[in-house]
Amino acid sequence: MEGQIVQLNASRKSEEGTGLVQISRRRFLQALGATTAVGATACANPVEQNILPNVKGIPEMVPGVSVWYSSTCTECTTGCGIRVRTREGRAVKVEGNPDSPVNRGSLCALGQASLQSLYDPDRIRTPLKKTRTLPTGPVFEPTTWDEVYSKLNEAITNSTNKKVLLTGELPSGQQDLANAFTSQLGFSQVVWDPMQPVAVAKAAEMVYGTYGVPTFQLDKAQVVVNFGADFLETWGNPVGYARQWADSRRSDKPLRFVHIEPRLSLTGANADLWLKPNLGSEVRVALFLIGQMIERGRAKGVSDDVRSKLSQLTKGISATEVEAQTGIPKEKLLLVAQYLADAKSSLVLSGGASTSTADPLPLLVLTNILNVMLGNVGKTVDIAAMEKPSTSGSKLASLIDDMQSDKVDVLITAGTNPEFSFPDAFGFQYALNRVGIKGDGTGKKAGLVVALASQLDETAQLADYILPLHTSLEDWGYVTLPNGSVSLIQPSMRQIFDTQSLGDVLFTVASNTGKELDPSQTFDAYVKSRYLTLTSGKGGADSETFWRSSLEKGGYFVAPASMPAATASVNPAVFSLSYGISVKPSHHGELMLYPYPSVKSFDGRAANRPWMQELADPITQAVWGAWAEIHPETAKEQGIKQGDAVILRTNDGEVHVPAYVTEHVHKGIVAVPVGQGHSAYGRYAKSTGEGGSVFSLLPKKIASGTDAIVLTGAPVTVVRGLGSGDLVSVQEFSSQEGRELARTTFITGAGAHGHGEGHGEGHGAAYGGGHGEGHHEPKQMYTQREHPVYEWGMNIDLAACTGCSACVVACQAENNIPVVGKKVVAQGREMAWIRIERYYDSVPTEDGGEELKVSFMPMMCQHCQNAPCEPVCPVYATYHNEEGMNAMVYNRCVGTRYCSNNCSYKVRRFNWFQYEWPELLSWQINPDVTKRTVGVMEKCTFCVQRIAEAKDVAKDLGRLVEDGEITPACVQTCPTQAITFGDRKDPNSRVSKLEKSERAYKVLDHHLNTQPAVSYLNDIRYKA
Amino acid sequence: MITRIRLAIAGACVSALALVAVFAQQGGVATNATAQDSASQYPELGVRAGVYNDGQAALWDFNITDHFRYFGPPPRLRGYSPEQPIKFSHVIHVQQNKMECQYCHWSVSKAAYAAIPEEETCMGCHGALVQGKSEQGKKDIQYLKDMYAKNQPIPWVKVHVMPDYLKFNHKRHVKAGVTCQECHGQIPEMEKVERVSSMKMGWCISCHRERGASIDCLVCHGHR
Repeated sequence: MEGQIVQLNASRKSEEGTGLVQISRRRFLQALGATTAVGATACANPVEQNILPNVKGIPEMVPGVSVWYSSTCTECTTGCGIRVRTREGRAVKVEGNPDSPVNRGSLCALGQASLQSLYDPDRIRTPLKKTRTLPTGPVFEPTTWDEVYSKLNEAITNSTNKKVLLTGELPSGQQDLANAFTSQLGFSQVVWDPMQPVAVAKAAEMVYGTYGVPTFQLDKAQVVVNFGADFLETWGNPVGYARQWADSRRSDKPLRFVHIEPRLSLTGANADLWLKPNLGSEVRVALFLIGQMIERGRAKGVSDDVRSKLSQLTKGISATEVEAQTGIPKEKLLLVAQYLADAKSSLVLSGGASTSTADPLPLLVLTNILNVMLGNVGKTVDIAAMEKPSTSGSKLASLIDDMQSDKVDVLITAGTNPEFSFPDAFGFQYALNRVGIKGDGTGKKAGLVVALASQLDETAQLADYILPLHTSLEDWGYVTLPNGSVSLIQPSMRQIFDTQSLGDVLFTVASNTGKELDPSQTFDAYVKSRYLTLTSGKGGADSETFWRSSLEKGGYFVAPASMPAATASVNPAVFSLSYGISVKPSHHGELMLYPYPSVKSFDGRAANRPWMQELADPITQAVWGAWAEIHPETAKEQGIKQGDAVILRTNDGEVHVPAYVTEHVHKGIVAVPVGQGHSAYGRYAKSTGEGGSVFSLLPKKIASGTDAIVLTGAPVTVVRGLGSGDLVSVQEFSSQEGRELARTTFITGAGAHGHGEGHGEGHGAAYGGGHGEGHHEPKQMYTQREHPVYEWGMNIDLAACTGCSACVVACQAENNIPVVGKKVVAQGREMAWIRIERYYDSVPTEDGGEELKVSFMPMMCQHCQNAPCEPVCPVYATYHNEEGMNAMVYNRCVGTRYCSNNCSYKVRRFNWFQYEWPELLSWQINPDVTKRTVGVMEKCTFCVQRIAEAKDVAKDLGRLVEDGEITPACVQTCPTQAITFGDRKDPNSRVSKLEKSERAYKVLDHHLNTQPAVSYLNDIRYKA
Repeated sequence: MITRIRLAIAGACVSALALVAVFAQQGGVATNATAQDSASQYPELGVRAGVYNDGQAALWDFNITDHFRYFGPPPRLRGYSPEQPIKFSHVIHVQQNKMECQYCHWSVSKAAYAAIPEEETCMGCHGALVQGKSEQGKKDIQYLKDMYAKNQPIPWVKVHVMPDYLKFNHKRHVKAGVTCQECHGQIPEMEKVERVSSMKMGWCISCHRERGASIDCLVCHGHR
């Protein structure tokens, strides 16, 4: 089962056991030096290249032609369908599966980066055995599968105490098998995934009667009021929700979006109105809104009895009082109440970091009650299709207690990393080291800890034995979706190392103890039989044909049907909750910790992926590592300046991070992204690890009434550390300086019902003056270009762009863009071809006040017709081609960098060094794209290789390329389909039409007459 | 004297680098290949249609030419005719036995790459029937069989080495009616394949001009 190694030249060395061929670049260069020293001309062929044919033909493989495999992304639990592009047996790109109803062809940044989990250079390659633990860390040495299996078997057989399977949220296939495993072998299962909204699920149970997270229909709502749920980033189904959100925002009747959270999150930045409450006081806002709805006669969804109880509860809550409690101006509160009351359909959401307090239920319950009152259940809230997390912080806490009191003999961990992502205060590590120590006082270790893992993370490091698992791109499985669809996971590539599927490991462990989990015996057979059972009757008589077509398509997908009508009654038990302010600072002026998951790092699972590390956070624009968002007032008190090292200290620990001083965070909190500060997991994760992990700051506390840990609200002190904190951000300014780069159309009109007229008036009044349409055609100095067949162009709808940065990672993956590291980025030498620019503007509100308007603008080469870069190139390496592109010929480039100096958009990137991927990551290289070398300029090519591919296909069919056949990587992955690509010469193409729309404009064109081929559409916002 | 220097230098030269670790799919069904096709062709594979033979080769290799940026790519000279692991004679195969080029190099009309035939193709004739007449022929055919049995690809030496920044598409040229011989010369008459064209940019462009093909840089540089 090992990867096939082809070893050709006797002079080359391969490491058989690891399945890897090591190429010493150093040795190669030495040899190269020797040949060139004597003169390149003398050596007839310094490099003799081999060409290796297949030994046997493979029916679906034509050399040089991509083969795509449908599968399912398992990075989070959403279950987005993916298609993996393979070339000659290697996975080179992951894209969304258009057939999947979950993500409809799009994928987030993390999903794009799943390739770097497969090609993680620090992956575990063989079974490992811990030999000793040094102060620097544990020492492992390779062992065999058989040895680990026999040890495990012995431990299970001899066990007299508890046996525990500790996992993450497994894909349904693995979970179904794990259920059989735990029941037959007497194990108990504990699940830990810090990203699961377990408190939200609990609150849903309290109000709707079923434990689970409902699915939402944002596009059916006219008004969305959101208490902290970051549904455009990491919460729920971010890709699907982003599409719904954007479809509504660019329609004739865009939804109005109010976001209430103490910190400006990416989701909050996309809101029409962002309100900044005191942490934990949101519950008062919700109560106030309930009172207002009753007052305004919008409480028809609940029974009279409940209504009277609710009015009891909200009695005497005035806007002034709530203003005092929350810090939100009462005019705004009344405005939100009015939006909700006036809207025919609405949606109230809650979740995310701001609801991960010690007492999250009151707020979550009240928002559910609001939905019931407003009649949203069955319209915008689907309580029939629920995602049911099995994560439980309290179960993990009691497991830790059990381990500490020597009640656990065998612990198997898989797909979870509690040593990192569970608060250190619970003492997981100490407890785990006691596993198997019998209570007989001898201290002799009889039990066993086995980690099943692909990466050597913090938890795996604690284990006695480690068994390497397939990554999801090498494995089988399936994911059942809330709407009844089943999404299949199939290997897109043969395993690279001596790894096994989690399912097969469970099968083997069970059969060693004489148990048969399933008649199928192997995991792939198990997946097939389970899949056919789950979809029984759907595929007709011929199950084999159905199975094959399912694999091709990616699973069995139920089209999103209309939401079943549902009624919900409010459980009277909810009135026993206390609806006071849940988080109180212990004394005046003390700050509260606000850890949050970001699109960049999630809970830390993305930390060893260089693409994700180098991705600029859309809000702070920081790369590599964590930061602490601190309000300027706090910073002033402590004498902290932007980028200074700061120490965050709680009762439980301290963390060193750089300060990011921003006024877009509540002054009572310190916001820190979780997921950085690894002490293991791999080279990239560890490179940002010195400062420590935010989880070490958290208290040993389970949120009351739920199974969730307490993420936010721990009292924290912030003090200046020594020197600079090494904050590297790629955009250090936030003002547009009046240059009208990212423009906005404001919709005026008070209520949500006034859309039609308001929208009409709003159009054309571009923010900052009406340059877009009004400016006259300038006289051209040069003759204008002609484009005989095609003229490629792109359009970006800022009303749909959420700034999620999926395009950035997709571009890096497609175009072999190197990752350069923190130091080089700090010198302004980052290489990303597309970036998300973020601007803060202050805009007038209708009542004469001012509100923050955040703009995100994807910026890449604009492919100008009058490109400033072209005339300055001394060697004609960059020029305007006959298809309207600003072409870059790498082998002509001599690296003067004049073009970059002259570029008005700062989109050209220079290879200051020869950037190389370490072995294994180098396997992700797209063979269709030239790797650039030192001294060469590069930039966005509109994915010219995909244009060529589409032209090639069209030519075979004897026609021209049709609209929509070319999708550059950014266009393909965009969750909101904000980017459109096509032929500007064809007046009927989507891009031509969009370019002529009244919202269209071109960046800096009115100043510079660069005539970009990339047009933008104004953002659309309601005037608050 | 010159010969001796050359020999010495040749010794110092780095030898082959296009070595690729190779993986075949473990299973699964590709989306853009029709399942029916592979099912009917390979009925015995059943469910695990993707359980292929081992030894899939990756055609792209290290960007070796990158390292030669400042010295130029490896000299691509007319007359380059490296020793091959098998003394394969196109004279016997093409001229005497009248085999079509595309019988072996089947992917030229389907893809950018002109693939070297799979060993399976060779074994079609040499497996049981043709065992060679000359000593050398017998030896080579035995070598082929050994490699096939070991499931290892034959390390052919590339004759037409192109730099990485050039993306040549065989399919387009074949479909445009360019014959193999126009670029590769009279291969049917070659006992050992030799490079007969310079394959430098001017050589390409002159033909593109003559035939009215595009001479936009991006046609060859930037994509395949």
